[in-house]
Amino acid sequence: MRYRNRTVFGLAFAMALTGIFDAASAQESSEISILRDALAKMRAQYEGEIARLEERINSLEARQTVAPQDTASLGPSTVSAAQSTAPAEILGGRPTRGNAFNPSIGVVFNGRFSAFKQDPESFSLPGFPLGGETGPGAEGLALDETEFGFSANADDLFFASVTAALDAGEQGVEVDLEEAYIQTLSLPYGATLKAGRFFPALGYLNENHDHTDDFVDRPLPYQAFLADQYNDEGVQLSVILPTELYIQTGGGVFRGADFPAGGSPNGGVGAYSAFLRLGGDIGFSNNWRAGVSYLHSDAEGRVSGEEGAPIEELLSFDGNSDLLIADFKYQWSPEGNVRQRYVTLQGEYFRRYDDGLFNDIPVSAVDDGFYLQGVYKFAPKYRTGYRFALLDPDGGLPAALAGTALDAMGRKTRSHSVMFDWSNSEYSALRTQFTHEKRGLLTDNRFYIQYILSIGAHGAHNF
Amino acid sequence: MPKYLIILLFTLGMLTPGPASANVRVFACEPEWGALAMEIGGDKANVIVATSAKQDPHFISARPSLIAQVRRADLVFCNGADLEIGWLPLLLRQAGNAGVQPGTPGYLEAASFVKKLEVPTSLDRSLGDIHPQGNPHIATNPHNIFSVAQILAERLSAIAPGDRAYFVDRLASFNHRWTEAMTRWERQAEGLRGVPVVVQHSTWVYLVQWLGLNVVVTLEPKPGIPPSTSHLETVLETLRSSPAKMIINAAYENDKPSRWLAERSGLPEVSLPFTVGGSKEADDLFRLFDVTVGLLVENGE
Repeated sequence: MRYRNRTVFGLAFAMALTGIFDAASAQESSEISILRDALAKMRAQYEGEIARLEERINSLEARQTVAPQDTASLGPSTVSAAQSTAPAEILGGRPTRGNAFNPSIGVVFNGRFSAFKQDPESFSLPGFPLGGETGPGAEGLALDETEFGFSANADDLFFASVTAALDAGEQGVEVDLEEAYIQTLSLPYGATLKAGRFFPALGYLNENHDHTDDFVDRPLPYQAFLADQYNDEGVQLSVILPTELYIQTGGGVFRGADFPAGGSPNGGVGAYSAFLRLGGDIGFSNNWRAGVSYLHSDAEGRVSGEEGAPIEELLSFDGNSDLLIADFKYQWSPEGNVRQRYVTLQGEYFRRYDDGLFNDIPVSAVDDGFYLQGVYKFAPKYRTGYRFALLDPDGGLPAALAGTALDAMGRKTRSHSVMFDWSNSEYSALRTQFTHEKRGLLTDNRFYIQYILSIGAHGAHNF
Repeated sequence: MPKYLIILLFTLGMLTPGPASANVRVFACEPEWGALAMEIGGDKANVIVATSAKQDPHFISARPSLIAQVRRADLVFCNGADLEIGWLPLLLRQAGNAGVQPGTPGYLEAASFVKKLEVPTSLDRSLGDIHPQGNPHIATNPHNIFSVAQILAERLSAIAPGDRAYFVDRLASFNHRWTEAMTRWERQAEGLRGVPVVVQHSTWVYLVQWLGLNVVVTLEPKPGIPPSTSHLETVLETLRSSPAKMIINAAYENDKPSRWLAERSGLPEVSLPFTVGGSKEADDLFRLFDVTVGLLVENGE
């Protein structure tokens, strides 16, 4: 009886191995050699066992105590073992595609309806000269940026990615090259070098594309200190240390073309950064990261104010600006199952030291700002969130600059936002947001309905 | 000032000691592959498992702790077939570990070494969260695990050539015990051939094919899209004309749809562990299939 059982086992084993050799045939011959060794080992073991069994059977036969009904009960298993070890068949067959080496391509669609209490044309944040197109955007029905992304590994050493946004502005369609960078994959010591045009590692949100944000607009400190997002050309080196605690540190050198830098000073080397990030888990349910970052930027003739506005309303800055950011993010989800439910808490604190000439008048100012937000995913498709943000501009100001954008008259800006969104899948989201904002003496209420959809390859999101 | 901080941190990083005995540091994406790495790697492998049985492996945050572990790994051992597409590429890119990038011996995708089912002939996101390379949940058929074990042993030996004999030993022992166990499970599950079942997500194709179950209906209208009440009503209708024996879901799934249907149809809801750690009893690969086959036999016969 035992002997029959072994035959079944041997048959099943042989069938299984046939499957392996099929699968492994593409591997180099060394991979098969381990099988051969393992098999030899098993055979040795196996033969020993068979010999022992045979001996036992012989001795049993000699005493004529074999029970015949046992052998009969084994019948069907032979069939089942043989059937079930048949290799799984491929139902569709792998389609051969000529474009298998083409980069991942993705498009993000972004549109919204907005209603504002205050005219967005006259948007200002008291005490903060704004860069670029900072502001709540157009009122009513509008298409936001449509973002095209292409990325792929160029070879075993480099990854490359390009993202461009199309914007249907008043002067026709504008193309904004958001990112075009290369990144190393295989430097020693956990180092990664990034070069080109990209969003430098700075605070928490700066590296992320805004379609991954939890709220429709960037929080106040990002609007005031970075004109929504610092985007520049340069190189950035980062190193992840080989520790259990996540420790990433690095820095970069940049052209200095984007706010808060400006005018690509010092022969096109106008800004540099440094950052340190820590992170870890407490069990599977609690994840956190925290960091500090620093950006030094030089500005040469950096102009703030509406395009086409009269000269006296513009504010030109020459000097340097040092920005310190402390950020943290904490996520809790039951058993780490973020698909079902989670709560995230996130906040960033900004402090900026400006030293230079505003319209040729010497100014030395220290400005602060922060935001704090919580997002609760309460069902697989639904989330809600709240965000508070505050800007605290420097009090002192030369009399000659009274009445300009720098003059906050001692007033802070505060905003409260509430959002609710629904995601049918990870590729689509529909969001509504209400913001109540007090900018100096002005009170603004803003209401948004937004959709964000992505097609094609969809890059994974940062934690 | 930041410069000194960086130097300080570098020094601290170098000083942090690692475990002394283990020769290969394995980063396993899922518990079943982590368990296999422990079977074959034994004391010579230090295995870190990135996810738990209670997590949906499609949806994992690429969080800092995982980046730190990939940074330190000698072998990244994952399921593949795009199961981890939402997080693993990001971990690999951010960790900057040259030894575990795809194409190196330090990167092993289990699904590349087995034949996949449900390879789609057309790709369209309106069909739900489909995987271009085929259904990724290969570990629900023990024969696939057996195949992957052989390749894993080879990779471990390539990374730590000095321990080759040890890994060969462990593999031979595993092969022996696993083949015996498979024969046992198959004999035990003979009566399940053709038994009609309802599944929540298309997680079980490999198990279904292995044991010859008959899937009457899937609760998710499309892969990854949670079923609505109206869809569940339709399922209930379907069950009237073609009755089933049980509703199968995985421990990590939200069991609301299954429970809804179980209450109305009177069918038992069978929550299978799906992977190692999915239930208290399923604490290694052998017990995983003991529990799985046991639950199916108990409810299906």
